[in-house]
Amino acid sequence: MITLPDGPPTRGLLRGWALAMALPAATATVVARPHLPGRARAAATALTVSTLGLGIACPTTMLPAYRGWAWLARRGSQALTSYAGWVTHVTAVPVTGAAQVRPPEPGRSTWQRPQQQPAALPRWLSTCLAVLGWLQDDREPVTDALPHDTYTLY
Amino acid sequence: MQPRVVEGSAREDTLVLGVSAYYHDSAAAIVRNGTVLAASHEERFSRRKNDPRFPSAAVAACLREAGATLADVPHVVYYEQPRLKLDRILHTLRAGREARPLAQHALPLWATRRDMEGRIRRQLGPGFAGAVHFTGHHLSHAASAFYPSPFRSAAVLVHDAVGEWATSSLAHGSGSQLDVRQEVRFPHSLGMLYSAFTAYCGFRVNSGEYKLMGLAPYGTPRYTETISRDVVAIHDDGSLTLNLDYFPYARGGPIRSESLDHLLGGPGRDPEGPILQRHLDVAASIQRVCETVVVTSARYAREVTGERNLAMAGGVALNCVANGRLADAALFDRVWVQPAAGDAGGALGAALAFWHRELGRPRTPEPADGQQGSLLGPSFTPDDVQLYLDGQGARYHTARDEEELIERVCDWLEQGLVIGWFQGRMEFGPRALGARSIIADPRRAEMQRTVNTKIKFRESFRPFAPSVLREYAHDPFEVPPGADLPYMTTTSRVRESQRVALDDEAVDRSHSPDLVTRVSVVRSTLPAVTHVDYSARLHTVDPERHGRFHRLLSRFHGRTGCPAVLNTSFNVRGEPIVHSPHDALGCFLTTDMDALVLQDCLLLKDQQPDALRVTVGHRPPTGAD
Repeated sequence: MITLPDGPPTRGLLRGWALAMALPAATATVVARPHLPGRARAAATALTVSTLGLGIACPTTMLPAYRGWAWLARRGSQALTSYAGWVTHVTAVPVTGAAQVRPPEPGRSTWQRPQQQPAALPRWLSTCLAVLGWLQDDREPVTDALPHDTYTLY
Repeated sequence: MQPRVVEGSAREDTLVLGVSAYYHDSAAAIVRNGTVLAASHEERFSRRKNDPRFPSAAVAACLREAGATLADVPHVVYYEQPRLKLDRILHTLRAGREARPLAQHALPLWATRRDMEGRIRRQLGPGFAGAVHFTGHHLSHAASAFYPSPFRSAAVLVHDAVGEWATSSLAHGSGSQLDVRQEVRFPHSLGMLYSAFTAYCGFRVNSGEYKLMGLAPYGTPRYTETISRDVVAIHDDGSLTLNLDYFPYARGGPIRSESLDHLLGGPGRDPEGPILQRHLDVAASIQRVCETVVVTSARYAREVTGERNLAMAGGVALNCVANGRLADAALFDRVWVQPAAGDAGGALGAALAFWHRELGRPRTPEPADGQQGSLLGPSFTPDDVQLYLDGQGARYHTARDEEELIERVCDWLEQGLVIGWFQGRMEFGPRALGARSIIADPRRAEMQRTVNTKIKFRESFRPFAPSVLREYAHDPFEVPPGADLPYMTTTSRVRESQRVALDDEAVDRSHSPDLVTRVSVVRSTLPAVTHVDYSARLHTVDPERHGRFHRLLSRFHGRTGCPAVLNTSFNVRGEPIVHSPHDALGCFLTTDMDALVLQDCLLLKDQQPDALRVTVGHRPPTGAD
């Protein structure tokens, strides 16, 4: 669960406003890619609509309820995260030199030559990560205590 | 990384600071001209177990030991390649709907890590004006194994859960060169396999693996064939292929599937639930599988490199039972395991890899090794300790000399007291090696239960380790004379001559469903450090590395004929090993420990004022969130 940093209301307002502005910009980047499959376009459209809704909703909660505003920003951040994960899935981020996530044929050695550096991140994903990072004030998000059988692979 | 000489690197006294952080158990290490000066885990300072945060306190401690400031450090090396790790995470996210929780957790984290160099610079502060470098996760492990080892050349083997993509690596080290030749990649991972079974048996992954290892001797490996047939294919060269139907983590899901539980005959153990025979058998089985992979891959490393020495690191290298099996297999003339084999050791490896590989500096291996007994942390002077104790109002006696101190401690050991032993520089790595240790007389059968339940507050099925004089270790244990095992990274067996014949009652008790009853059976002349299979995690003590601790054991041996003491880490369950006199005094006061030796100061529990227990004993953990 993401925990947004505490701070004076003005800072929170600024962040939320930036969120409302940045999300449509990010989704516009996605929609502008002509080779995207239909599902990605649908996702981008949904994202645009929801973030516009967020942008409209934000001003109504600006004053005086900072707590409500913080909640909205947090929900927006979570939504962005979920969308980013899903969009990452459906748009098949091009990565290079990566192993396939599937078992090799039985009986074959799995020793391989060492991995090389991958290609640069897609610009839209860099944008998303930059927005998220800025929202979190570049601090590590606080994560809830994980169950005993959860292995954090990241 | 290809070897090259960096401009300006020809100057004398070049400091390289290695950092591992943001996963678990962050650490820092500092190297001057290729010599290790200091290394520490952040958790020891923050008092937060396996602290993953940037190791600011560890960095500061390393700089103090080096007598330097950040302005004197031209190179900081981070222990892995963030971009390559993100590549693996993104790839996993493509797997499907199961990856959504991973996306929710991983992407916000990686949003803050997209500029790791900037992040490290901000954490270090404006005092740092040098360069930030990155090395590979497994290269850091391999470097931590090879460069401090006593070998001029060696095969290097790394097994862990996962770094960027690699889960196992095979490297060859020669002189200052270290080349990673082959690797096994995520999701096929020996470390993840072991962790999945750790979770099945109710222990926390990424920290409870050693408990599973301690549980294994109680069981029968009746699932080994099932695991080898259905769960993992172990190839002739020691590489492995997991059946991913049992491991949804490969798709961003949980570490194991319900189908694995079905295969193993029932649900996994609840963390606080009873340990059933099935869990014991599963532990024994996966331990057997792990040993097979380690030995088989080591044999392959021997074939590929032609080397007669082996260096190992990575979390799996902390499996001292597997290391013992490897020693029994006699594939190599010598095996050296990095004592901080987990990710903390990556900080040390990163610094050494940069020095030798990037700066192209030569390496001269130390005859013993370059790890210096792994006593690489901060120390406190006797004056520091006395000043602290006086400030707290503690009642203590300062030994007039070492002779008196050792005599007094030997008296206490013979009287059956449990003693906190705090001397010199703190250990780097998860094992207590005689600097921050709890010690007791291993000949007393009740000691295992006493120390476990009254002091460590933990599951009492786990054995303690013996610290034994190196020159006498071959008497009670099956090791050759002069065997040098200073890092507690392998197991040996108690000699037949030291074993005790079990009477009928003892035989009955050794089959009890209660593990506490089983482990309390007297099996040898050193019952408190003998496991149910007669194994022991040996720690040899020598005068060169251990000084006062060696003199203590020598005196105890001279008085009793016993060359060993029970040695366990100076902490309680769930807390890091103590770092400072403050931590040590707090642990002493909040447990049933009888006595405490802080440098030259001797404290007895029953002499301490009640007020002290309130002010120090019940302190909140410092630095914890």
